[in-house]
Amino acid sequence: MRYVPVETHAHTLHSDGSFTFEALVEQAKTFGYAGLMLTDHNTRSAAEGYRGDFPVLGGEEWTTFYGHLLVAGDAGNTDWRTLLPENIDTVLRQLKVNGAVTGMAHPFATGWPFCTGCRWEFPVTDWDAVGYIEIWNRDEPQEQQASEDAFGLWLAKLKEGYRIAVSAGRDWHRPEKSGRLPAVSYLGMQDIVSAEAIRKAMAKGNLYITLGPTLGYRLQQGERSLYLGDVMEQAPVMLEAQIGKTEIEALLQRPVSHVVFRLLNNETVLKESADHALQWEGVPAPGYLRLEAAGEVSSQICRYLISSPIYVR
Amino acid sequence: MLVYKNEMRIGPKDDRSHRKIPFTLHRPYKGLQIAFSYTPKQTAVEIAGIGETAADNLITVSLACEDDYIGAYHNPNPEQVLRIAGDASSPGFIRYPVRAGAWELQLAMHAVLSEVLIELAVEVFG
Repeated sequence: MRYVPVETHAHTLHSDGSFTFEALVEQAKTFGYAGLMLTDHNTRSAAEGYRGDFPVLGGEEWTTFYGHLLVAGDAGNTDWRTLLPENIDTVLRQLKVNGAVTGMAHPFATGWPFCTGCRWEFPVTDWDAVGYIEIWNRDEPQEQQASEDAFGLWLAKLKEGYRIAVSAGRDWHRPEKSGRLPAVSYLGMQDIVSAEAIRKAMAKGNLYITLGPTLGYRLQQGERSLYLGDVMEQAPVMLEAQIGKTEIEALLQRPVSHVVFRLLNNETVLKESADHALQWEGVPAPGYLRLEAAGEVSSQICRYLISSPIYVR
Repeated sequence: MLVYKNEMRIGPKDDRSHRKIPFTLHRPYKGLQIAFSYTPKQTAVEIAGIGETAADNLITVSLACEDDYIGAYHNPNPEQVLRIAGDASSPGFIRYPVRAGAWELQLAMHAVLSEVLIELAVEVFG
């Protein structure tokens, strides 16, 4: 398993972005992404007929009155206009059956009347059907209160026993202002990067998010290797994890000074390290394991890397 | 040939609703054109804790033919000319042959914060 940077939230001039589709793909390659999820508002027309080598998972951002839902990887034949507060659980489950990956976009952004639906208001009850929460949105997400609020929502739902991944979405509409940098989602790939491999990683929750540094890990339960998004038995496991330097040149402009690397089990710290590596052996409690790293970024202490969970039965 | 033309006056009571505009084509055409505009784009709103501030009305067009969703143009430009055809369509819409059948245009009233005048015309040609 290797983890590659994929932009999970991007727009073109087929909605309110300023990139042509071709320019978006070129910008993505230049930045260092290995793939892209195309998520124009309420349309998939930008990638119509695309046969290029750069992996692009077709999707859209369902831009409804009560929330923006990222939907990708299905045939696109579910009509966003049918989504209502009273059928949100049913529609989310149906999308999953249809092979879609779904995620709540920027749930704590400023909403109506400035950006209708940008703030999530759908009354979800089946949080397992959500897929993932975009807890980091746009550039410099560590500076935004909305990121903390979304992180808090994600933890609350994990503690309730739901299985939900995290994502970082650049919500890329046009080149950012000079000096503003995005966070990146790293997706797990078994072999070659393809649109289908992106879909599978997102569907499973096999991704972590970072302001730059990378995550490497080996989690073994007997002979079985476990990855983010997996469900494991409550039995002894052995973890070795390391934080590596960023692979993306542009992100070197935002230095991260490491402070702590943690392994958490239902928010109880199992292991904490001031180094860039940690090891742990033991039997985790039923619930979830996750990794995170915090450090100093632009004179502020914040989480700079957050993994999606591995679940313990 | 003009298929639909209307001026609509809407207001805050229409905020966050969809307006469906069905029409039927009795034969195929080479293309379809939607001319859509609304005014005003910007208005003043009173927000608790902020006071009076400027915000935008936002209305978007989407289009379907029977069970096929053709697309939408979610863009803040309040004056749009959108074309659909089998060989090329405007941004936001897939290429789609303008065939005989039941069509439906929808206006999504994402934000209607003031009285708004909408002008909408649908033409087919060829």
